[in-house]
Amino acid sequence: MIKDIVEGGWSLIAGMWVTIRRIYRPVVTVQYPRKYLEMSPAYRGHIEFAQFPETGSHNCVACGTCMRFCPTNVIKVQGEKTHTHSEKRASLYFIDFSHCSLCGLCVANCPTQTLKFSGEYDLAHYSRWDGVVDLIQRLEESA
Amino acid sequence: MANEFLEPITEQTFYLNMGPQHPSTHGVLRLFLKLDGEYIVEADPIIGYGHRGHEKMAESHLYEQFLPNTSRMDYLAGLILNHGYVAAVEKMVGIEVPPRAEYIRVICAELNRISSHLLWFGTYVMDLGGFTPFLYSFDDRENILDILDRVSGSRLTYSYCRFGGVARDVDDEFITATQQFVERLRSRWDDYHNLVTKNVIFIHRAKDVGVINRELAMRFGCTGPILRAAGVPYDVRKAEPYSVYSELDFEIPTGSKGDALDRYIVRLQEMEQSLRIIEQALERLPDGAIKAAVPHKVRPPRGDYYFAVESARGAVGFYIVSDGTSYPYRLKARVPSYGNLQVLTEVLPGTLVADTISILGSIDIVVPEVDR
Amino acid sequence: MAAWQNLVNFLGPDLTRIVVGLVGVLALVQVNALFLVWLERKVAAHIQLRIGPKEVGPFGILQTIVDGIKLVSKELITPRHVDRKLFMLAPIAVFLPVLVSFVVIPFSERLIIRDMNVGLLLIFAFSTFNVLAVLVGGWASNNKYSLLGAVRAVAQNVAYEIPLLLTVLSVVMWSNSLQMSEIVASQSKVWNVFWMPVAALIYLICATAETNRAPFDIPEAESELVAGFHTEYSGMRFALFFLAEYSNMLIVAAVATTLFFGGWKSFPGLGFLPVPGWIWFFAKTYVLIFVAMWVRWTFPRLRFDQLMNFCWKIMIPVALLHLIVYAGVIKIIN
Repeated sequence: MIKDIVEGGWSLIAGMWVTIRRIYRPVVTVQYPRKYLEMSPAYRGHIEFAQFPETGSHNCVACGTCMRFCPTNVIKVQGEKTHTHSEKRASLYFIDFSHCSLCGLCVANCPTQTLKFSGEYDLAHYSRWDGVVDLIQRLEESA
Repeated sequence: MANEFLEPITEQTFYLNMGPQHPSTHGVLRLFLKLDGEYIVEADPIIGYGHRGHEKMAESHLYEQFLPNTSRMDYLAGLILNHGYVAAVEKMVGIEVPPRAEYIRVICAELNRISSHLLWFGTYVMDLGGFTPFLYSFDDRENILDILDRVSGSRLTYSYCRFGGVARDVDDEFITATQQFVERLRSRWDDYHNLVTKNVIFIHRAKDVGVINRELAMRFGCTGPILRAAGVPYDVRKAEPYSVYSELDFEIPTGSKGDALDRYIVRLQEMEQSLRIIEQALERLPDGAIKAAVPHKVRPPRGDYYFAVESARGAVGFYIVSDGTSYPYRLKARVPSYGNLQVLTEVLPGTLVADTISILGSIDIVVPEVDR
Repeated sequence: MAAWQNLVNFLGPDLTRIVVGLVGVLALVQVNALFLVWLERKVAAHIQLRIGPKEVGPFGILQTIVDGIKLVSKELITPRHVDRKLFMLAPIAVFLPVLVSFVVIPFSERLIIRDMNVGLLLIFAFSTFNVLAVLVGGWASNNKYSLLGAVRAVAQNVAYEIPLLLTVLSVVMWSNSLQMSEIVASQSKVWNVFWMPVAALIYLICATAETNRAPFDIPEAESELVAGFHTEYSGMRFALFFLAEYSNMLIVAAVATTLFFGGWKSFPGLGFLPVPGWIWFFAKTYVLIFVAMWVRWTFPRLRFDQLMNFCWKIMIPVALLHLIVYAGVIKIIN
């Protein structure tokens, strides 16, 4: 009985010793709006076009593989040919980011490797239409 | 049970609806309790609030497209479920996975298992009223998430395994970060034990509470730490070794009584075993490809296939019926939380309301996994 | 100055002292609660490797004022099926006795509103009111969680009052008085905590239980009973419960300081410092409160039956034994 009380009391003191030491340890949280964490290079934001140095633009041929593989059907791509026998090129590429599950199947299956993940993560928005990203416009703006 | 809503409430007993919105039902579980004072006379877990129809969804998705769904069933061990599903499809099609990819999968799955157990540790102690251990375990868990974020690009729903391999190769930084994490977590055990395991209040709250013995656990199809805490050394990683687990040396910790304290200790020991697995796998990590050649669209031959892996909560099995097209005819996910949750009806009667929380916490359910 | 003279003439010196004192106590209670909430959040944060409030004011010290303004400006929601009168009465009833208890607490040698000869009795008599208010609040809420919380609170507080009073009795026997200033004076040579440490320990444990703080916070155990007896309260009514909790902490810590830690007397060996007595008093009180917070953010919660077992099987026998032993010792010394 007395042994139980002493042992129990000692275990409580041991626990308090663990917590009191933490008071002087540096904090581990980051004060978010003041400081930003660096995202890892692999971070999967929404997709965007990669810019190829040879062409200075994207290489999307509007094959539609990403569209077919997307589990949530958020990708809309349309292409047009400049003349009859030329390759198709994407003229419209929209994703609705608000439904995207960031699985990366589009990037993994893109035959021309023109899709990549952007590092963006401040993606909260006010309207559901703000989640729609025009990839071609985005590429032009970044260029 | 539905009829009992209409039954007149006697003077002695009353009904308490715990959940679906309650601080400690871990999501949207609803416990319908018949109470006599603070003692529970009857308990009925009511599930389905988080039902999203994943299994039905699979039937209208390509095999590839179902991958993101798997990590959304059990969001705490998403990578392990990814692994299970991918391995099931690989078995159907007959894809040989390169050894490097297998080792990476095992390392990441074990990291994921530790992160799940750490989260469980924190939330269980928080259910019992201790806030601070929760923050400490999350501090450690954050390290795992950072490591997995570096390699997979995501922190919770990884979608990292792909048919025939993994999505991204690991680099040296990943290996050093993982080794550092292993050391860091080993140095933390003392604090965890002093703060929680040896704490007299914690022992009183967990010991002899919610005893799920061998027979009960087997009758309800419990797996994972619950079954092992009851003394049955069943672990899919040992019983039907998949991936490269047969080459790695680890033990299956078991308990004896099957009470909440046993489950707690089994989980802590499992984390230590996972650290051992990670160390060995990092040492043996071979060079080579990370992805085998896979057909553009997976079309498994006709037939039905089953593949099980050990998630943080128990055996996860994917049973897939193929009709030869690129869409599964039927996909059934056998999830551990479902069986583990059903035990509540047997274990809860006779306990106190405070014990309900302790028992519910100790069996570690993930409600979206139950509901699917 | 003339107006002040008129007031004193009109009320008489005794009544003036009480009126001024009560106004001072009201201010103290508010400021103390604001400070303690901030301190609690800071202590919790640093124990948990976080920063805690930091945005409003230096080190976030004005955060609680802003929170208070928000609570005051909220609508007072009265759920439909509650007992309206009792529901509104409970927050007031929980707060008023807190004020009365401060009347007899000696903050320093002369800073005491009224040095009654039954001071200690008055404090314990009024602190019992607290339980009634909690029961009324929980019962009137017409919520099962509230009811369970209220029932737990009553059982717990009634049980823990017994060892609390038993230990206090041994102090009273030593000082031979219920008057707070006499009790402090009796510790002029050695603090009571040094020669009856068991009593001090039992007092502190019981005081934690009396104020419903972790690890004895089962009446409001948020992981079991959502928020216990104040589940249905919101806005300023909730704030009053909150205020009462922190004021109760101050009271039990102040009483502990008075009974066991030498009241306004300086720390041993620091008597030469020119520090007024009330600073010593508050320093000791807040150290005790800090320990209570430290305990709260370290331990899990006890289960209800274990709590009662602990009280009836350990605390009360030990307190009784302690009382008997010290009664004998005091008899021999005198």
